[in-house]
Amino acid sequence: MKDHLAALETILRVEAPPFLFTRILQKVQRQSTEYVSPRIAWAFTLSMITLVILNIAVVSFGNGKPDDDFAKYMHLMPHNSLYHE
Amino acid sequence: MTFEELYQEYKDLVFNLTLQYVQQAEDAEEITQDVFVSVYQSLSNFKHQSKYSTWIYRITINKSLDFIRSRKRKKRIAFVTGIFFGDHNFSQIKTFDHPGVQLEQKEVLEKIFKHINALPDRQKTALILSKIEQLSQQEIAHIMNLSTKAVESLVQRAKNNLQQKLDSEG
Repeated sequence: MKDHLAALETILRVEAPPFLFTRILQKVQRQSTEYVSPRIAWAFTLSMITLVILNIAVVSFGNGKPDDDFAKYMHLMPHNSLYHE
Repeated sequence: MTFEELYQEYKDLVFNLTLQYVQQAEDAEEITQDVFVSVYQSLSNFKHQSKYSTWIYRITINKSLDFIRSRKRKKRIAFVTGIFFGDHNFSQIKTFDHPGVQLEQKEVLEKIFKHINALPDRQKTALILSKIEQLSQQEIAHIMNLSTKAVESLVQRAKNNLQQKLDSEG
């Protein structure tokens, strides 16, 4: 066993590859451009939650019928025929 | 200390330590990059409760172990994909390529590293720091956040496990 561990002690120190610092700086810059700030992430999440809540509210509490006066005014007929016959 | 000064002082330490974990120059370079990106991002939050070297040792150890875990996970996924879709990329396992190993020791050290890689993470780290990096038990204890007794026990268990595996190979 002693011989095996002695072999571990023969491992030489090597130098870090050249240009590594440049590559690290590039990686740092790439990550900082891909970074989304927590404020933006929270704003997006809150908007999505609001949209979902509004959708649920419309589906659950709306009566599903269009406003009749408004439909008449805009010629939105509550049937599926293509022409006013 | 600026980021560039830290890099100049610790680049070789980080690169050599990662090499002991992955035994691959290419992989060690990738981990070294990740370590220094992490150092760059958290340098402003460094509270000087420990030495820079201890802090960098910890980041390097964690990044190396994360890299090994992720590599194992990728191999498992590639293996399963290979079974179902006949894709055999998982067989392209990188060979032992440790630039610090001398040619005449390569065969012996490749065998030893194969067994070191199979050790539990804490035993592996204690053994690498003590036998290859030649750190004192007190320094290892500080880096690993353990008592010196615990480090002593980890190194001893690692040695015993290695002994058993090498003996069984004959």
